[in-house]
Amino acid sequence: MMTKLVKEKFAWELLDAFPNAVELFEPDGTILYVNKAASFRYGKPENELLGANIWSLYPPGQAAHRKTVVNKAVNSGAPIQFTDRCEEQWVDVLICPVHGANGNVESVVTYTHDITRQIRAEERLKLVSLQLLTNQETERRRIAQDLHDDIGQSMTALILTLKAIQSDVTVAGHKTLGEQVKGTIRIVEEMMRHIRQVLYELRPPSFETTTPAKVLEALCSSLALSTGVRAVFSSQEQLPTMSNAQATALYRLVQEGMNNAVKHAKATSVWINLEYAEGEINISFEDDGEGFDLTQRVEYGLGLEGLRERFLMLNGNFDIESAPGKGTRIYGSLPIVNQKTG
Amino acid sequence: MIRIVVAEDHQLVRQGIVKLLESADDLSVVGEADNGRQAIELVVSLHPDVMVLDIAMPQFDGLETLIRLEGIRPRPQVVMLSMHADPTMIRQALQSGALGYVVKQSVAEELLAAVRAAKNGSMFLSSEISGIIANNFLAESPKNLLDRLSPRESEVVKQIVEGYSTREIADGLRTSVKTVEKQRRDAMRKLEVDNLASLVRVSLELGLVIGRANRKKTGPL
Repeated sequence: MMTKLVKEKFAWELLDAFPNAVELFEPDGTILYVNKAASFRYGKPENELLGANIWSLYPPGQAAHRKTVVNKAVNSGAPIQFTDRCEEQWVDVLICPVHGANGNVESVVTYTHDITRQIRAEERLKLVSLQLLTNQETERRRIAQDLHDDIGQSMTALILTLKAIQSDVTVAGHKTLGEQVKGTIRIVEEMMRHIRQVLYELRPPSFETTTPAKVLEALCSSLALSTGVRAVFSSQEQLPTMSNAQATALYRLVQEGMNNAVKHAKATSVWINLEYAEGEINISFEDDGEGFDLTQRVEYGLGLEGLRERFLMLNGNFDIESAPGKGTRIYGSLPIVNQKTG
Repeated sequence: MIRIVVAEDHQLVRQGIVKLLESADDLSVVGEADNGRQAIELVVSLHPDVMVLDIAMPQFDGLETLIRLEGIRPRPQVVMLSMHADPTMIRQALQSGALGYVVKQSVAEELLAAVRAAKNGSMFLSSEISGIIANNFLAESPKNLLDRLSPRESEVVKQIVEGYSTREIADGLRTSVKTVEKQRRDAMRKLEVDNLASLVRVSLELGLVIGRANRKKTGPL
């Protein structure tokens, strides 16, 4: 059985083995205890730190902020957690008031966890994901280009050739043959219609010559025509300029919303809104379809999940509201750094 | 005889178009170009009545060629050919002076009619395009101001008129205040009003909300 003394020694050793910096100080800032990690963090030996004022160890701005947080924790008696950045270092800080026997806050303990590596990894991940997304869009553009330049043109030539054959055989008196060629032309025309649909899905038209609002409006009318769903598009007249990646995200949201509305929700109408407010471009896609239980349908579509990723990667927000029988509403927003409107 | 210049960069397609046009007794192809620059040169030297112009071409695409034709006299009437029924492109083409717009998939059925119409100064659009335009026209019809509101926007407007606060509406609809505010802005834009008083007035006028009988009761219950 461990004696109290042995237990205390054990506890101190545990604290010293702890990779997080731990400091105990009085509400006025006088340091009562630091573990090894804390002494390493401040670059000073333990005996120099004990009795010193903790605020003197921080640059003035940061000291003021910390003082405010500590006062808040002392006054409320509840712990406070926040993320802080000091030059190139990111830390997670937990500030806990320590209560004495009478219930008053006698001292304060802080735990500082270095999360720089985690933050850097997140940044890298974001960068890589963004790169992947860009590559995906480039690849889609290339496929669309090939489809348009090669297959689309050849099919046009095929239709024209068949048309010439049709008139030749008709003139020569082969009426049935002419009808058959005519039927073949219909089939090729139908194939072209499908290819065009695929083209539209693959490649958003250029946002360089046309504003995103106009492109989205065109997409809505095209989708309305091909799906038979009524699409009501509404946009603010003036929108700030946005990046190609942002405009593409809006485009993909409309496509995916429509896909969901038609394939899963069996909607008859959809409403799309585009606006700029409080530094953000907001897009919403609402349908009057069947809706779904967000908690039940975990696989509510890879498409929608990919869309969420896309918006988060662009530092935006993404949200879906739906319930059985209540339709579905998809919201996306993207921050505009450059506030120039045009 | 209608004299035509065909500008299309894809050789097989161009040959097919020429053959199709030549098969009609009243049409004659006087020149062929495989890029926009060449097309303009042919117009200057040949004075055709009609030009069949592909929208995607090297060295001035169809739209740019169309704009460059502006200053040339006599200026031929233009029928655009495109793979896409893209409303933006159609709008640009028509605004830049094209009279016809034919999607390639219907070229066999519609090109002859489009060329003849252009010669007479009349417009011709592929049947598919007429559909898109009609759709846009109906969607923009002011009579359907109320129709433009989504179910959720109608609900938000109703509750605003009934006197609920944004917070109350958000709680009731299990959404955020920010979302309700956005929906209110969307509804106001669609109803063409810029303040809450007008929103209430227009909603009552349009019959979105009937009277004020079911206004929210205030005070302790």
